[in-house]
Amino acid sequence: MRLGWILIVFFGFTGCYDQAAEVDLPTYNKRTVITSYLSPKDQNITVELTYTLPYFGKQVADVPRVGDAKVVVSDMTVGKSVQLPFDSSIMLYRIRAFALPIVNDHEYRIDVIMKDGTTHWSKTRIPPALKEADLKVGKFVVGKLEESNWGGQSVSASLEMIAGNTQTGFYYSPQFEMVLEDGNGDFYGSLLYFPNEGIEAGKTGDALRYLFNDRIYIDQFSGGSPALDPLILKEVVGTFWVMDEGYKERYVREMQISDNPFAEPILMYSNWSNGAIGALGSYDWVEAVITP
Amino acid sequence: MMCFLLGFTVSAVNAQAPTQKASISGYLREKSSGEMLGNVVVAAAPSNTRTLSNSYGFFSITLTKGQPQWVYFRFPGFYTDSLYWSAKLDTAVNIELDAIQTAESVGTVEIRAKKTTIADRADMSRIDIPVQQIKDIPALLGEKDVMKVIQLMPGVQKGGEGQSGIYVRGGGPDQNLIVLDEAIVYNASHLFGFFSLFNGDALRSVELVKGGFPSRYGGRLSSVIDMNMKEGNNKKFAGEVGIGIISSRAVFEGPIVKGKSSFMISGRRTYLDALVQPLIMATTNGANAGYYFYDMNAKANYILSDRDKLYVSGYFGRDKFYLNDKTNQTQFKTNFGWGNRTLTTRWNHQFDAKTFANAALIYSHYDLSIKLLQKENDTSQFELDYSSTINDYGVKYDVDYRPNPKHLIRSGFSVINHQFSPSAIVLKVGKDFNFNRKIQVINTYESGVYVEDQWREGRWNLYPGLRVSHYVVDQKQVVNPEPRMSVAYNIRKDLALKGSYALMNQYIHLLSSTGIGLPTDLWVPATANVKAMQSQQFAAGVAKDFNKGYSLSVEGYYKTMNNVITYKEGASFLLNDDFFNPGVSVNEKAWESQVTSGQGWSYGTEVFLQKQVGKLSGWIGYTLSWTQLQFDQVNQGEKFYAKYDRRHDASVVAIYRLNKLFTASATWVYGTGNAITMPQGYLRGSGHYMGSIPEVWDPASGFFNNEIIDYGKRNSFRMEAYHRLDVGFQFRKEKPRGIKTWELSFYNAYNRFNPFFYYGQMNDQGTVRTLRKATLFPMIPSLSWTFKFR
Repeated sequence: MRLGWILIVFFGFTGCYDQAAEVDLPTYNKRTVITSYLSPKDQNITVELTYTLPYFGKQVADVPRVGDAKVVVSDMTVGKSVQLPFDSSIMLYRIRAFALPIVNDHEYRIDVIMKDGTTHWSKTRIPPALKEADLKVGKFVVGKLEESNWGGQSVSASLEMIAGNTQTGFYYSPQFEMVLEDGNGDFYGSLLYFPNEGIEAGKTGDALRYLFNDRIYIDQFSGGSPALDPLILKEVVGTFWVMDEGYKERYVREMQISDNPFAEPILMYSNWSNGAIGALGSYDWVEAVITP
Repeated sequence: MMCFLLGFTVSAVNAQAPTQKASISGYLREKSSGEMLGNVVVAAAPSNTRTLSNSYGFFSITLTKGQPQWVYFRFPGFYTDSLYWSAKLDTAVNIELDAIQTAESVGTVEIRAKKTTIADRADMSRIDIPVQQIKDIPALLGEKDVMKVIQLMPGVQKGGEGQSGIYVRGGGPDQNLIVLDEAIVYNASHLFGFFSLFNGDALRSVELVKGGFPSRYGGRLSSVIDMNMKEGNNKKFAGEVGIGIISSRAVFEGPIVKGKSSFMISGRRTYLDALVQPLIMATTNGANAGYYFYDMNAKANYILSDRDKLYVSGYFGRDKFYLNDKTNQTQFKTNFGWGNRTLTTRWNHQFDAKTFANAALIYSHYDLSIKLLQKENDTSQFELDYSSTINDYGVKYDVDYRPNPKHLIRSGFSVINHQFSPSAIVLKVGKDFNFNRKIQVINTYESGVYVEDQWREGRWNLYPGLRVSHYVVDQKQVVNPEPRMSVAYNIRKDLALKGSYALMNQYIHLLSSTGIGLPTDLWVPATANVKAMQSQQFAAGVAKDFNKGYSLSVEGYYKTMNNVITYKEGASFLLNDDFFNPGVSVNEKAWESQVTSGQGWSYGTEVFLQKQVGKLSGWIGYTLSWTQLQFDQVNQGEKFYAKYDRRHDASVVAIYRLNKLFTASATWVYGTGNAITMPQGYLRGSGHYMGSIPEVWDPASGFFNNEIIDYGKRNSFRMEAYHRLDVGFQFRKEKPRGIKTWELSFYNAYNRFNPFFYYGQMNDQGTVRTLRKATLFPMIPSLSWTFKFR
């Protein structure tokens, strides 16, 4: 019987350990990374040209820069091209925008010719210009103030924003804050978080609707008095953004990168030819103050 | 040739015989226990007429009136039985076959058993797993596991190290219809996938179908694993108890009313928690944590009359992980559990010598729950209750009709009401922050009507069938015809060419995260937005029987799968609830926005060399296969190899019964490594973030504000090949009251460091990152003790 117990203990506890061992590294292919976002609001046209670094093996502190490529930006709509010089002080290819104005609804192409002759190109159409009047506040509800165990106050709120005059092929995103006024005449602001990062695909001939429905926390001013019912929605303030596919994809993927161990891997976005990765995107915005 | 006529009872004679033909019908049972025997070959000579008993042991064979015939009953592992028949009327018989008990007699019986040929069967891609072999094959920690044995079959691949999930012919683990006494089992694993739910002691039969699906099966794309529980010994009380390193088990069976009704009850529980508890408490200053699982099978049957029989069976099992860490001021408590429950009530009725029917009422339940509680000074500070539940209520009716020796016609219908709650959450922070939003239960109705014919015409065996499936969700319905066809042509008695085609629809999906096999994978129904999956499979092969009980089959297959779903890049199960997606209405079924659908292709060749009888039995299986997937929103729309794409997969199983006291067994498996997505490089670059205050993109003014990993293409990295040898030795000793068995087994006998997962590790200076692999199981010896009392 004693031997039986010894055997059980022996066999039971020898089978529980992990073993780690080094194995062959995944194949690392150095890839060219090209990033450029064009906007009518920007005073420069900038292209960032770099390489990926190996994830495994010896780590590099400095970001590798490519300064010996030929970078040409063309306005395909008017048929004009400019070559971007490499500015070694900022390690970027850059030119002032007056050399080639970035205009809404125009199509632009960027060609990158590497020193070894490899060429990468991509195109983007600058989104249409936005108007402040394109965005409205729809239905909204602000609840009653409640005390919070965290030491402040909270209130449930829902608000709908409606965007008109949008176009298929572009993506629209309101980045706004709601401004509430309480019974004391004090103002409180809260960011509006919409689903899908607030980005919706444009629909020609139909309005886009963004719904915020959540509890918001009221920050109390130091030494100030608590907020007082009723809370009234005074205005909605922020920026209405529009972007092309390239901008949207890169943006969304970066936002999705997280430390969540259960998340699916996110493959790097590319709209460049010939194996380069990165995005050529375009965007525009309009600031707006909307009174319900 | 010796015949063992062990039980032969003429119990009734039907005077309503047809004009030229008469039938012999009845039930086939095991002699010692009275258990029904399915898939027994019933063959008549010299007319060369053949049939198989159904899963309830019922058979019917129609012969020419008055023409003398020998009728043989053949089943692997049993002595062949026969009877001489020359009656002019329909005859009902009950046949009892005697199991081969001793190694000494094996050599004698081998001669007959070899005649159970694969050429006898019209169907293909179907394998019966002998329950005794499950017990003989060495297992991890001595836990005998049906699913692990199924993984050793060609065309079937395992998931990760130690896991019991299976991938059949390129299909995902959700594409397997796992049925226990007609009830669907959703999550067939214990201990995070390391052990299957099914206690081998409670099982009577296990059948795996990989293709050429009979039309009575539907609802899954890739395989059917049809398991039946033991009915219970209706002659005497019997039982078995076993003690292993991590669990103990017991099964008891016996007559309730002798010859009329019987029962079987079995149970199993792990006790890792009890063993490890003192250690945890000592090292954590009183924290209480552990993990256990238990399961229970029970079945009872009652013979209502010669023609009617009633069965009630059920399964109940649960896994639980718990942690309770309490100090004077604070308490942290978590429970993570999942479980299955099934209940099946069946009524067999024999209308006449040619017609057998079975009606069933079926209930199946699966749930997953994560509970978390954090308290401070007895005040609830944080509470989380996450759950996902499926309830199935089903009714099923099947009829077997044998109008003449050439045809066996099966038809029937089934209706299942699935009630899904894919995710619900209750969250409380303090007193005033209280979410209690439950996603609405999604009711779906899945039904099917089928007819199939097992048609023998000379050298041809034809198996045509049609199933029409019907699915209702969100007030919308779809009707899908599913044609099926299997053909076999016997070139010689021992050589057959076979081919099959099957179209399958699946109205349920499993949302599974890459890289983990946790039960956090969610079962979700096909909806108006997420379509049902559909597959078409073509298979062709050749089957050959050899001397000394060897048989060989070689099959090739090509399968397409449509509307397969996966998480979008970056999505995760933790994002499935609206709590994590502020602003999404609860009725929008948040998980739908996390998934994308695509298609898959799988093709390959399987070789299966088997020896079922003799002192040495076992098999060699080899699969050469390719599996690819394509989703518009994954991998930039390009095709990629599935994680479980396995170019080469081989298994060798050998069981050697030296004598009645000693059995040695070994299994060796080899599989190409899984295809996974690994970081290859990364970039430091500047992004641009929209905000309520506008800002232009200016990388010159900022710094490299993000580090993005370049994974290359999806699943472009191959893990190392997996291979492992397990050996086991069973020592039996006959005692006056039963048989005592000691089993010593060695899992991973040559201590191969198979990769479980890979990870990157930076050195202390932060200058070099290495890729390392973690190995889960080195060589693990185990010892178990079993006593089977008479």
